[in-house]
Amino acid sequence: MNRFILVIIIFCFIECRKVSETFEPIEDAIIYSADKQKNNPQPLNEIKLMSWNIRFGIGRSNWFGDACGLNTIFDKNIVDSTLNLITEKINKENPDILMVQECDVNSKRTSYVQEINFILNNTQFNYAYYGPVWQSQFIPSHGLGKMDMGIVIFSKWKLENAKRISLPLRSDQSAAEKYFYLRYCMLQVELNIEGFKSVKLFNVHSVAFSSDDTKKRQYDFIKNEFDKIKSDGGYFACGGDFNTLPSNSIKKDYCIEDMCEGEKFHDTENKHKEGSNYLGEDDGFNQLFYNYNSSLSLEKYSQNESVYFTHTTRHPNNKPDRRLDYFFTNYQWIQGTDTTYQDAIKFSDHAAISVKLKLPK
Amino acid sequence: MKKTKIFILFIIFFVFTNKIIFADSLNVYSFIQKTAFTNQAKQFNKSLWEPYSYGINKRIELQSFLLGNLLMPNISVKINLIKKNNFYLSSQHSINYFTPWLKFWQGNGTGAIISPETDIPKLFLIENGIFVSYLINNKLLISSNLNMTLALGTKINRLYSIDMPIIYNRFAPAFENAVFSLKTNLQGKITKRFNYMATFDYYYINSNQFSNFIETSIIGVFAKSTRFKFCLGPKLVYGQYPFGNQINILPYFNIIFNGSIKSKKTR
Repeated sequence: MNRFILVIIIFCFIECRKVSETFEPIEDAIIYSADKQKNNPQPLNEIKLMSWNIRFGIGRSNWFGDACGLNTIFDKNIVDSTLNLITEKINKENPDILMVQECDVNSKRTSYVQEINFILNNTQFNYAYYGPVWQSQFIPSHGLGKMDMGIVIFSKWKLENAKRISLPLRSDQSAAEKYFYLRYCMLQVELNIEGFKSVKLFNVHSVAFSSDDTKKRQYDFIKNEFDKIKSDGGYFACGGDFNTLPSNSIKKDYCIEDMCEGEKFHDTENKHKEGSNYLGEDDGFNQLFYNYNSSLSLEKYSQNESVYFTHTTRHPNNKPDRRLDYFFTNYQWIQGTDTTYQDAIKFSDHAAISVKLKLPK
Repeated sequence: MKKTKIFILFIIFFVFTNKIIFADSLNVYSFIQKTAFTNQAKQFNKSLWEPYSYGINKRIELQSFLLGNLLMPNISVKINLIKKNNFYLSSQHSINYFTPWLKFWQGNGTGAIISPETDIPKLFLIENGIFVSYLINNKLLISSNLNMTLALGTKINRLYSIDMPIIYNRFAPAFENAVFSLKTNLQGKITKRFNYMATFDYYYINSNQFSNFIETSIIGVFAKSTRFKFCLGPKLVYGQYPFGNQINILPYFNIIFNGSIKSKKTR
């Protein structure tokens, strides 16, 4: 802790500007466009949505922040080669809209690779809309240094009214930790295609490691945003990493699976590992299932859970062991188009998911 | 606790060590370390951010960051080579062993600014430079300094560099090749109690990717007495960091303390 105080004193001397971004409740998203525009035809009746937490392009590497890893900084070659595999998969599935979580744009840990530009220039997408989640001049912890990570909506077509909407913050951290920590958000854009009604598209990344009621507050907040659109007679489709399990999952406690060497859980001192115990999270998240259409219904999920898993921390065979990623809409999914790409977990700690949305007329 | 002890030692060192003889009058310069001047024999100069400098004799001065020696053993010698009319020329030679300093900042958890996964090898920073100063008149002094800094030892992988203003360019030799710097400053008197210094420092890092850094400042110096001076001013820093170009405006504050060590009187 003393070393931390020293770092803060150094900052006082060397930085006049804000060290870490804190964000307004609603801000304009940052817009990117591909270096070379690609010709994409307008959709006929439906669009294909894909959501993928790409783990900032480090694949299955042992990052210190999860998976019991030791490494903090990754070489450009590792990041570039992972992004190549990720873009290959994206091109193979050819979604119209891609919702990405954990995308680095100028972070030391990924050798300052501009991942949004990389994906834009190696896929069919023409535009990207970025909402930063973790933006700091310098994070004085584990040698993380400069950080700029967030969520992105990639699109073949130009979208409108792109907004970054802040989600409620964790309340179980010290002020210093909170200041330098991730500020989760949702990203909202409007898809306006001639001949169809406007659809608001959301990308969500909710908190992973909170031990208080932050998840519930975030799910309530998200539902409230959806409710507003519904009550105005509008349409939305949302994809993202919600960091919780379907309420009817057989297993909800992954402390032992996620346990690192030397750790101990389920005793009197260390009850649960942060981010690995999903018990008690149903209340808020269920409201999304009950009020809106999920691309994967709870009934379908319960018939064969494992084929819908999208995440693992360190499964030895790189097989996902839990479902954390979802799509919701207040309109209609095309039946039978919900897909979980479990093979894609080789390139991240999440599998990609996709579904086709019927466009409202 | 360890840091508190260091702080107390620092205060004791600053306030109670040495017997002080007041200097006769304010010099035109406030920052002797930035000039070709050397301290007179037994005279010293200390400040928060500049090294402690001590005059061995009329021509030779030793410099060291005294507290810094705990984590970064360092010594520097400045030798006055030419002193002709108003023109001064000196050379400066420094050696720094900064492996312990880098290791101090390395680790897991909060406060660590260097990632734990890299090995920090034994590294010495060797710095050699030439100073020239020209006293334009009693109120104005111009000084320039050309420096080359090299690291002896195995370089640290540049992935783990500390990409912060002020720090990056000073420690770049540990990650990159040689660093060359050309620093110029103008120091002058305004009134009896007010001095000023304007600086323009250019750093060239001999590397494939990132190369130029500029630091410029205008600093006001208030002389509380002939011993104590307080300095304040803005510093503009431009740098080509691994993540791109960045400009920072930083506050500069310093306290300068000078005097001389009194010789014991003998009967």
